[in-house]
Amino acid sequence: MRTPILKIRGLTKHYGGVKALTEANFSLAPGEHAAIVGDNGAGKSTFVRLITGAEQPNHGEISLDGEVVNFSSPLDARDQGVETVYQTLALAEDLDVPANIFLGREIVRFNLGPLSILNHKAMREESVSMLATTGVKIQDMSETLRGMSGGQRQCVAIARAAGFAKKLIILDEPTAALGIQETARVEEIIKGLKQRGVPLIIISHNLRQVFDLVDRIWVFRQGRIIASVLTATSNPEQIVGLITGAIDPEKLPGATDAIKDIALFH
Amino acid sequence: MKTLARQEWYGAMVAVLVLGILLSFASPYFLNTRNLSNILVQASVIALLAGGQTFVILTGGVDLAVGSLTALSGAVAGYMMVKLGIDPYMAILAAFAIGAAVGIFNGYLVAFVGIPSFIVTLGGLTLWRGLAFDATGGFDMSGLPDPFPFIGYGDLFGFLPMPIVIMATFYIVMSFVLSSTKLGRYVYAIGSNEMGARQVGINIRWYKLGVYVVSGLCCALAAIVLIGRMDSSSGKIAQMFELDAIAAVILGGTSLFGGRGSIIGSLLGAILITMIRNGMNLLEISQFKQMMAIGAVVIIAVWIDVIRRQRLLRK
Repeated sequence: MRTPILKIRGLTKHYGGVKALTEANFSLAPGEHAAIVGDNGAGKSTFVRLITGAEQPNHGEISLDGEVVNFSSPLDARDQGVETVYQTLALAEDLDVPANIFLGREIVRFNLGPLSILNHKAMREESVSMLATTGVKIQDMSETLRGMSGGQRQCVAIARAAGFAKKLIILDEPTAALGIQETARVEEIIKGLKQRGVPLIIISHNLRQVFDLVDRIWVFRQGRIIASVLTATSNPEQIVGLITGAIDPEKLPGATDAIKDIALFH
Repeated sequence: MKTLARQEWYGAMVAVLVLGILLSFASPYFLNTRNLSNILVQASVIALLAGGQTFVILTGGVDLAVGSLTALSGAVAGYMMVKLGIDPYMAILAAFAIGAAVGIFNGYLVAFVGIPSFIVTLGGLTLWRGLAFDATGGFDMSGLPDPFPFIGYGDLFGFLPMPIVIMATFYIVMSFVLSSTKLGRYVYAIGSNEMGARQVGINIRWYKLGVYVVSGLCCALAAIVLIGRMDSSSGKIAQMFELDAIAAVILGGTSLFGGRGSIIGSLLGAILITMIRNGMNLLEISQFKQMMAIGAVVIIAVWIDVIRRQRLLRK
């Protein structure tokens, strides 16, 4: 078996008496697309905050590409190759597309601290190629984002993440605020990332979308990861059953194998 | 590229041209070289203050203390030269040091402590004015040494008034800073989406502090030009200049909500305000009516900004 791009063992976060996440095991193979599902308060957000460095776990181990890592902040996680697209997108609506793609990591001609001189041409060219690789079509690169639809903005944010991600991309509810056509556009982009072998974790409430897009689903329930199933051998009814507790994962063949494997072998 | 009509400063440019045409019909004295040159010289101090103010407003803040800080820098520099006989270049250095120090003070309270800029600089409005009088004993200091007469009245190459030269150079530099440096880009990013700017790793606190320092330094530069033109200094100078500076920025199409705007618009805004004053003087409209007119223009400009913002948000 190849080294997982991301492997998590015993990840735990308790806030006083509140057990937000307990002993979570998770793994993502190179090129794999995985979904995180679960009811509100099941621990998804805590899990994502821990693996993106927004918070630090009480205990547990995160390995990135075979190396144990400790993310001190989201920027630290980003520097180590984990790109996250938040629901809020972190885009500046009044800046154009290249400015947004390179926001916070501009290419400069001369490094003079805050007065560093920007290399507009290089950033523009890189942006064009990043958008092309990700399959995002933007008519006018010098247009500010304010004039663009929610779907286009989401695509710009994903292209930015895909362009810079050295290890994996995390998408937090990428289509929650989008209409049907725009959702389809974003899903196409995600499928393109799959073909290019970019590892990806998606948090989504939309099971139709999850089955359409990913290889494996990790089910969260009451602060634990209770099941990990391949979409190829499962169906949405099973997942709903696991999320709500109607189905006991121990009685579903294979549903807890991946989780137990991680606990046993390291 | 954005088409001309969609530049934020387009409205200000149209207003300058229309008002110019109207005034040249209304008064025979408007359209001559000396009057036009006068307008630019008179606009220079407000334009310098508006330049720094643009940075602050683009981040979504406001600096109400620029008039008082100009007075503090100018009064202290004048006092050092006239009362203490200190070298004028040291006095200029001191003026900039005061501008930077007050900028750091404002920026620290806004960016690191989290007090709204409106409150910090409203307090500063009276704080720095009071200090300007107190530090200089309330004296009027007249008869400034070289190079102040040259800065105020001199002509470069014998025909370009120095205040215009300083203003033009300043705007070329500031325009470059805003369009082509990290600082400029982050000013827009912070004004557009402060949370997002933080998420992508921009150290928004230091950059926000930075814009108040820029504004403070602009006050010092404005003070140097202003006392040069008056050939004197005191704590009384630059009264209510903050209103003209903010008005110039808003008239120039920069949004009070931050994120949208341009430096060139602020220059046009400063010229526009000066033209309105100049035109009303030529037409012998009273000072009181002028005050009312400027106030009304400011409200209308903000009104337009609010409507424009609502349109953009509806998109």
